Amino acid sequence: MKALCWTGINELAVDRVPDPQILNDQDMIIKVRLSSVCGSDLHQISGYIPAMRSGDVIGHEFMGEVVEIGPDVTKHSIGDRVVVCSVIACGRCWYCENDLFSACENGNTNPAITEMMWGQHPAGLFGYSHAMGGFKGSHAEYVRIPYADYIAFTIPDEVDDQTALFASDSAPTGWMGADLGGVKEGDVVAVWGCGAVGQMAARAAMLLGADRVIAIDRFEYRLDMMEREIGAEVLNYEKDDIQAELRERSGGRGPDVCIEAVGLEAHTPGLHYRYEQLKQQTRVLQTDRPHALREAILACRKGGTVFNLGVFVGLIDKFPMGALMNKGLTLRAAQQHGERYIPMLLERMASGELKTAHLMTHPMSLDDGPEGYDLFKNKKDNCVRAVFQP
Amino acid sequence: MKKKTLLFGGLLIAGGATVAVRSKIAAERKTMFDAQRWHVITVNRPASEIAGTADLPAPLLSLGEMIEIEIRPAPGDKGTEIAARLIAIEADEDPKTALRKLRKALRDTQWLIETGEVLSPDKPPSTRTTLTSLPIEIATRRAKGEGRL
Repeated sequence: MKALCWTGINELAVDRVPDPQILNDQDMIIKVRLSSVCGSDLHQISGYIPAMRSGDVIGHEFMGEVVEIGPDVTKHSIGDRVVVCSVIACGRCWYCENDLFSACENGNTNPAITEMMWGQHPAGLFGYSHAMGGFKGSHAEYVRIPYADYIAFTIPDEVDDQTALFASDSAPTGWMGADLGGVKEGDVVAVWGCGAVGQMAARAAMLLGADRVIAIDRFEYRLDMMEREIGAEVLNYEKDDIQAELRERSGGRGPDVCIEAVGLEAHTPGLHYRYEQLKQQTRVLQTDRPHALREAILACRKGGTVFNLGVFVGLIDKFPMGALMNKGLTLRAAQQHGERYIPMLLERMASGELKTAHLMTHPMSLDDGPEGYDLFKNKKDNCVRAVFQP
Repeated sequence: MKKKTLLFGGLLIAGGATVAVRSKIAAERKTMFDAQRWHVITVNRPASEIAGTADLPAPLLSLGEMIEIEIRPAPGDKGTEIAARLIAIEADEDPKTALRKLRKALRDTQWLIETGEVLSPDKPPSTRTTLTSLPIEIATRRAKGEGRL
């Protein structure tokens, strides 16, 4: 089959790879209908995720049609239209039963790599390096779905493909930030990053009752989309004094909940950015650039919560531990526990409460995969998400 | 000058050799400690379902006399703890290899008890071997036998 493969740092190629097979009785195979790029793919492409191999199929946000099922799959039939969570979780270990799906004990077939790096291993992820199981990604014609009854969800008839696609990763990730960040009625919420995940986090905060939601980015087209499609207030960190604006808009207290939806390649104006980038290139002084996370910790009101949604892989320098401790903040983070939210999100999509189709700014053929990532990475042509149709 | 250079070079080589030997001894000592310690998994099943070793799946049982097993309820309703340690390593077996077998057996046991099957990695692979990918290939081959379990 055809697939988009990582072939080296900043190199992608559309290649022929072996078709997926049913390898476990709980597997199924789907024919991909839509597969989206994601900001976290860029960390792999740029070489910040150390466990990649040439030929790895990337992509983890997708939906499609069931074409083959293993003998133990009971919830799906051939022909079903499904959206698949990017996190591969068994649904039966203690973590899954406690809604911590991305901490699943049985989803990662390469547990030792992350145990050595992080102490314990997280769940598997589609198309996200050998540290996360080495599973082939979704930028392909077909994908093998392990634990199909637990990670694939039938799409209601009222929800179209473009909308359902984002129930795979962006929408549940954003929802998790607001939900586990503890957003409640009357809160002021700040969101760093106006990509798909940031937009979904802002929308989730509104639906959970936030009084004001303020979103931060530097690209005007993304700020415009956040304002127009989600209804959040926006700030441009290249023009506005973010700390002062957030204090002013929250009665001097600072936001109750700060959600970081940027990750390890964050930007900041000025020379400071170059200094951080230089340190990151050494891979020794720091592996991740945490500007947005630092800003969120500094902005957050005393006793508030910072939720980190953006992907980090290793070590950061100059973490404001003093602010975190002395302001009594709660810092939470996770890869998305998508299986916990997807059924509810599909219902909200069906009712029209949660709109996502606007995120797909660039529908493209899989053959144009490298070009799609170029548009996405370099923010060309107002790209928010390039979505491939194999 | 030449004598000083030779002396410095000699000291450097001797120092390097000492560090290497001490590192090797430390690594071997760690392997021996790891081989002797209890390695534990917690499975999400009540202890009543896993009353004795006879209830355990094949991977652990196949290690037979090589290991000692303890089963106990996990605190806080977290399931059942299954602990195992090596007690008899065959004379011709490297302790590291025996330890890998034990870790793999424990991981497979958890998979079998909780999900009914051992999750297979994706295959056939689509990847190519390159010089930079060798460490990842080795780590992946040993993934279930290594780690901090």
